[in-house]
Amino acid sequence: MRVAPFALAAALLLVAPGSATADVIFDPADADELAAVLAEATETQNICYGWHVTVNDVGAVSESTGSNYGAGEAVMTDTCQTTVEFVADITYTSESSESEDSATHYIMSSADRPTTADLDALGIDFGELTGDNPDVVIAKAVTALPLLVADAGMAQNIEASPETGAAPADAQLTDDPGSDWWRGNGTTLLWAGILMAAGALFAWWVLRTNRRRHPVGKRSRDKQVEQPLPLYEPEEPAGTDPDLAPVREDPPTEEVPAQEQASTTPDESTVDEPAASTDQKDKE
Amino acid sequence: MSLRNKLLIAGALGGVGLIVLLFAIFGGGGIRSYLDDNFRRQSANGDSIVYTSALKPKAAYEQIRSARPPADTQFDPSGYFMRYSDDIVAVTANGTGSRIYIDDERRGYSHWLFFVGGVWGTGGSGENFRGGGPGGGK
Repeated sequence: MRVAPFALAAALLLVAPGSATADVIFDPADADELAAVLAEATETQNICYGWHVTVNDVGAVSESTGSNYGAGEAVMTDTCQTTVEFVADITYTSESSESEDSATHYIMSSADRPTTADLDALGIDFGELTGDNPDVVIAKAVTALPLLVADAGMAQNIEASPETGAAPADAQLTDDPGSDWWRGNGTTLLWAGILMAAGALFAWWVLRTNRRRHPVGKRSRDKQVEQPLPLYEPEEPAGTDPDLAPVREDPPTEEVPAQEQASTTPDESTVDEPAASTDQKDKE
Repeated sequence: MSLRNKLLIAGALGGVGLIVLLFAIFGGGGIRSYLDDNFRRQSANGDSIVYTSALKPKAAYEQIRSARPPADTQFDPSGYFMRYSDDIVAVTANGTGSRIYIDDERRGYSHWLFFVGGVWGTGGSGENFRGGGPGGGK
């Protein structure tokens, strides 16, 4: 009696499609191609590879699965001695939600290695799992699994060799890699700019605050004012045209009393007053 | 702190920034000079040069990538492929060590079309992995 359910399950497995018809991450052709790459690696390294990605799109959960057995096929842990699988969970939140989209990833291996840290060391931008092209990131991670296994010494390396024949006519580079120099030195240049700007700003601030404490211009002006005005101006030097010289009234002939001198302010108008009063006296 | 000391600090900051700037400008060459300086040349054919290293492929790849960041990297079970502005670098296994290939971009694309074709240009087998997915992100 217990044979019937197993027979039914086996029959369902046989009629199930071999390719990923409803893969949330990959197009069916992409998933098939990725599975074929893993199958080649398994043939050489005798290790089973796969991927399992769960996508939670605002509550709607869907999955992408594949392995060296094919797209849509999970890694069979019972038939493989060693299995290495890339696992990721991607969560998309609604536009109205305050939470950001998020993703986690890790390597699930039946052995100790390779680890997720080994994968992260390759420099794959896993932040892009929540970006526009998560399939590119996942494909990179999955195809790197056999490299990590070989590096860990769990299996032999697979060596690539360059094609020596002529490339197809339609093979043309179309990407734009940008400048190597800017890519390599951008961060260094940024730091250089920050340091030089900080130095210049600090120097400007130091000089500015120092000038406020010791205002040179005001001090010299005050010195000029404090100097007592001469009571007697010397005559014009010889050779000066008297017609062009400004007309000046004669200085006072009388001696100014000492008390009056002391009370006299340095203001020019007040200095002129004694002369005017002298004239008045003369007229009288 | 005296005015002189403050100005010295400002000058030191600017001086360090200037040194960093000069280091960025004159400090390192491109990917070709880096490979020439750090790996043993095995053979050359025009702009196509092959180097060898005792490092494992992953270690050689990480060393090159951290020293001269590529614009893009592709992986295949049989090697690491790095895209630079004018060159393509491939790191593959070579016994217990690694072999490093550098070609100008056109020849490199032709050499490694099976692995990077369709990703960095047209043709080849990898034409499919050009982005897509659920696209539910914010």
